[in-house]
Amino acid sequence: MLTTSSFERLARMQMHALGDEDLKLIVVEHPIGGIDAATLAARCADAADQAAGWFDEQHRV
Amino acid sequence: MADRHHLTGDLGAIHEFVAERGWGDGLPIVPPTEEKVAAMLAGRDPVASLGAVPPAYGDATHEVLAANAVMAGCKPAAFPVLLAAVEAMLQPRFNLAGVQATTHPVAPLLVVHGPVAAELKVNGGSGVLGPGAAANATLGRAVRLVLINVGGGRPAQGDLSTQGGPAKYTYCMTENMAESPWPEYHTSVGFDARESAVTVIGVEGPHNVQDHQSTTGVRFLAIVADAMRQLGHNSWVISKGNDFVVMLGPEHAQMLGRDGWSRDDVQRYLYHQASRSVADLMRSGNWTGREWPVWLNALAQSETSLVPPVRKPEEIRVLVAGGPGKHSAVMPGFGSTSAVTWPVR
Repeated sequence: MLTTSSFERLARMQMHALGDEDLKLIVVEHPIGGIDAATLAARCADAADQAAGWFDEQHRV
Repeated sequence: MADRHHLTGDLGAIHEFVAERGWGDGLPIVPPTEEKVAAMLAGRDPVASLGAVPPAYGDATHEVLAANAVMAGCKPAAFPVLLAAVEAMLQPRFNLAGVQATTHPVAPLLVVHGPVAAELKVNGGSGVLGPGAAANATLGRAVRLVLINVGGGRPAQGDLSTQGGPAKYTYCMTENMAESPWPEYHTSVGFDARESAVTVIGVEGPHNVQDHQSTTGVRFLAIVADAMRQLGHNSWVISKGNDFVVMLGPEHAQMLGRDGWSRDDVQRYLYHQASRSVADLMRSGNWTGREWPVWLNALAQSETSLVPPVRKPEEIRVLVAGGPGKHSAVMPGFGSTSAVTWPVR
């Protein structure tokens, strides 16, 4: 699941309510609406780094 | 069964206890004692559930709903209306999860129809949207308490409305049928006039439309259409359920009736007259993020194409309510919820 920081609490409420607390949650800085392309690209990179971190954890020996 | 809490002390201690747990709307509540909840249930099965209320998906059992009705100050005779309202809101097309969690200030407007409105003394005349009438205030409040306490719709948690609004405290009405030129609204969606029902519509708070000048319906409706064309409302850019309420004051409604307008005529006229050009909407607040059906995106190929404020004329829900004075109101929708009318049993 992808959310922005202001909505993290709602996202975690949903995960708990729907019995999916193990779901991976990517949190990026709010907002993503109305920001310039460079800032959006930086937030995308942050999201990609978070996702990559999970794969690293999974494959760590 | 719901949890029980045994408290000692005065009402202040009870309010403190409730506030610490985020169990209310910020106003003092009526303590939901065993006796009061039992009276509200009136023999119904306490553990029977209407479903899970998003976004926290709390279980809307009869007992929990009765407790919230007591807290809101409802009389037991109003409980069937609350049950119908909750059932209506849990219908998929209402999209309660979206209504609860959105940053938009949408609130469920509860419209009570048929004999039960008079039995409960729901106000449809002067001051219809408050304050003053106990039935309006408490029923609307009960709906909100359910959304908070069962659904988890607390500000900044499950309810992300940027600014909230007064309509999120209580938002309940009936029509002024003594002065309406048309049949009651619920008959337009398939109910008999003798049936009691409730309609829930996700809309903003009311935007006033004053017109003390017009002597013809068409001149008046042009002013209503102008109020509907405000660039900032959601329905321009989202198309998953586009209700727009037009609440006509009785004097305006009677002028329309005298001029031969039906409710259907009003809906169709406003559908066209309240349209805006694609060029205008390109200046709106979410043009590039719009969620439009194929036919609207096809229209958008030309900047001069006109886009209606809703997707179908019947999504303009025309109600007659209020007292003397030439004021009406429009309530823009959220763009992602559809009205549901449900029987009161």
